[in-house]
Amino acid sequence: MKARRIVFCICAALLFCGVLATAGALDKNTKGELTNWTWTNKCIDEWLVPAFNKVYPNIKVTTVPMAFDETHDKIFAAIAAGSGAPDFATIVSDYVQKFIAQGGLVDMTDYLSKHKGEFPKYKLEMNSDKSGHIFGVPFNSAPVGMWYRKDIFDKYNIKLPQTYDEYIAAGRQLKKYGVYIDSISVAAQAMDRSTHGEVGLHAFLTQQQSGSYFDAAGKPTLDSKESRRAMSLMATLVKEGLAANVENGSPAYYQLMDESKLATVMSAAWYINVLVNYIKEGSPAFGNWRFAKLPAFDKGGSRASNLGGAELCIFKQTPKAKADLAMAFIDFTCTTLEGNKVHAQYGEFPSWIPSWTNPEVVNMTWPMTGDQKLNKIFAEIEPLVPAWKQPPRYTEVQKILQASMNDIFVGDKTVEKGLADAQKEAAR
Amino acid sequence: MKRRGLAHEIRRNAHAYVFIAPFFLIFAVFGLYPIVYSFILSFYTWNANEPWVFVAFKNYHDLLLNDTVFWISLWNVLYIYLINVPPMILLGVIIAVALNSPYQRFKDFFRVTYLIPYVTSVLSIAIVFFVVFDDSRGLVNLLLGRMGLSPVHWLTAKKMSKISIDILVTWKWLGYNMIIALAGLQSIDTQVYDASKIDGAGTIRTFFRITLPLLRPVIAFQFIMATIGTFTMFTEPYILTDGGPGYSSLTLVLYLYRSAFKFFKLGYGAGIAFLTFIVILIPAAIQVRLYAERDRSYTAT
Repeated sequence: MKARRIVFCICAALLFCGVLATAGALDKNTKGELTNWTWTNKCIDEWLVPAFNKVYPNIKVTTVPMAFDETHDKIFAAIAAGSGAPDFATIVSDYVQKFIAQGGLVDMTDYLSKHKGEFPKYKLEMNSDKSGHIFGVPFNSAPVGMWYRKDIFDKYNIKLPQTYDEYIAAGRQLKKYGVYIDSISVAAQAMDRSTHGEVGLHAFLTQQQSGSYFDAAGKPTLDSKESRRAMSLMATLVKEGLAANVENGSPAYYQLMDESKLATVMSAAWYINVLVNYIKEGSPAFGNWRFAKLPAFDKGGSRASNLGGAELCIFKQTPKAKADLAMAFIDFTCTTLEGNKVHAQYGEFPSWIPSWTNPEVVNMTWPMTGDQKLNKIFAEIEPLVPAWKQPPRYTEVQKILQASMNDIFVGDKTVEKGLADAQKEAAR
Repeated sequence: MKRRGLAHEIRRNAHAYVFIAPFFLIFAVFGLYPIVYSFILSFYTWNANEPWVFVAFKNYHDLLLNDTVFWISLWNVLYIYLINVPPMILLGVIIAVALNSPYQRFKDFFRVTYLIPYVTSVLSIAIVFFVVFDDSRGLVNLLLGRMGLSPVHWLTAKKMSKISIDILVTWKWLGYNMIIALAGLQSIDTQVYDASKIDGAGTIRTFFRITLPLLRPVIAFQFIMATIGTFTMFTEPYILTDGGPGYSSLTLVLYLYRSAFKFFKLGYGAGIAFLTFIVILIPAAIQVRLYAERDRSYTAT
């Protein structure tokens, strides 16, 4: 009996080693099923999965669409509970440190060591823990710029602003004709609606100046010089009525676009797929959008920043067999040319550096933005994006900032007092 | 005789205990266990990364002495309660009396219509009200504009956010309160009304001297239910305003949810839960006392 047990153990160990050895080199005809959670379900379900199935036809990938906030809330609960997580998920950079701290994600360091230099350093740092282990594969990058309506700028003779002073001047000019420059909701509500609106705006403006919400020790620094400058810019836009008081993504917001009353949107590379999904042909907005680099705070200053961007992560609780399938999907999507091409075509700027110089990717255009080669500009901005700290407390300070924004925008508090109060609350 | 006590009692009435057991089992698993777990958690710090850290009363100390947001949310809930509950219950009684009147036509139609908001999901109502109360394109402001009035910032002004929530809550719960009052009314013997009419009482006097006092137990029940419901309000502020602008419509439970699941301060959230429990307990206990005592003095048959 003992001998049989020993033989069995040896066989099991050999089998296991065999499995390990072939992990990553998954047979193309492997059968299996995968589940994933994401808010960018159109991208994954309608673009990437079909492309993936051309290579692995027998792996069925089910995508559960969820709202942006909900996806992360559910992942947090699933990790804390130890079960209930999908096989893999898209996780935004704001939240990934939290899940790493919870110990819920699979270590990807070995896998990524085979792809050295293929992803921007700041992206890998965002998914790393203190010891340098990386827990997610960078999926898409989100370099920020100014999406603007070329037709409105031409109509009113507005030059592309190079600094924020010029941007405000352009806003004042447009106001005379009843046109808004960007939108800032004075009372931005649910986080998922504002994270890519008001709170996100303040974040990337602060990041653009190489500022941060946290210092090196991880303590909040919400009233830093850079944060105040960013908030002052937003407060000016609101107080002078230059920015429309509508919530990003609301029906009123798109109506302003259709009426040609919204001239610019400061947002990231992925905004192209928002435009494509919401603006229909026949709208005057269609085909008239262009992308330009962010204005600088000071002449010659940084014109690069980031807003969002996600990673693909596998959960510790995912069974080994499914984890291998998930790895195949992630591998295809993030580190093959075909996967990255499809991803870029959907309208998200992939984080894989080799794709940025691929002629097909560089020459991609969208009817929404005429003949502009968006990926070319994104690739220019991405290497210049300043680092940005997003420790586990990041979403908490975002919420505190959001609450203080209303006080500042309606004039109950000055920018200094509003941020000082927010800092006091965050440091509590 | 006392010796044979509990075990004997259970065996004698085994079938009865079997019938009532399911409720207690379910309560024990889904009610009691989470409550006890939560209570214990409130004495620890836990952020779902690391193990629980015992901090004794630190959470309660921080909440009561260091946390302005907690007090703001408590005040918000009180404000929402005072503006909404007493008028709504009174209005419910008045409408019930009107619907109970023999002169009222189409009673059933009205009763159904008033009850429809109650059976509609609060989530869908909140989403619709969110659109209706929109600053620039909402129905209400458009109508105000047509009438020549300036638009109101229903959800985007600190002064209005709680009032807008109250409007939603009243719209939803008025029908329910009315039906409860109606049921109470119909349990009042008509002979009492006949007697009062003979004594020469008019409608108003009948209402205040006969109807309301006899409805006291029903109204007491409504107040207690409304207290619990208002102080634990979550969905309406979550959908309509997410506690904003600023913290103007943040309720206790919304703050709890945010602390526990957005800020990952689960022990802190548990502390808020227990403080909420105490906050509800006080007025509820007072109300039970008040009405129970009064009831005892009502030995009318």
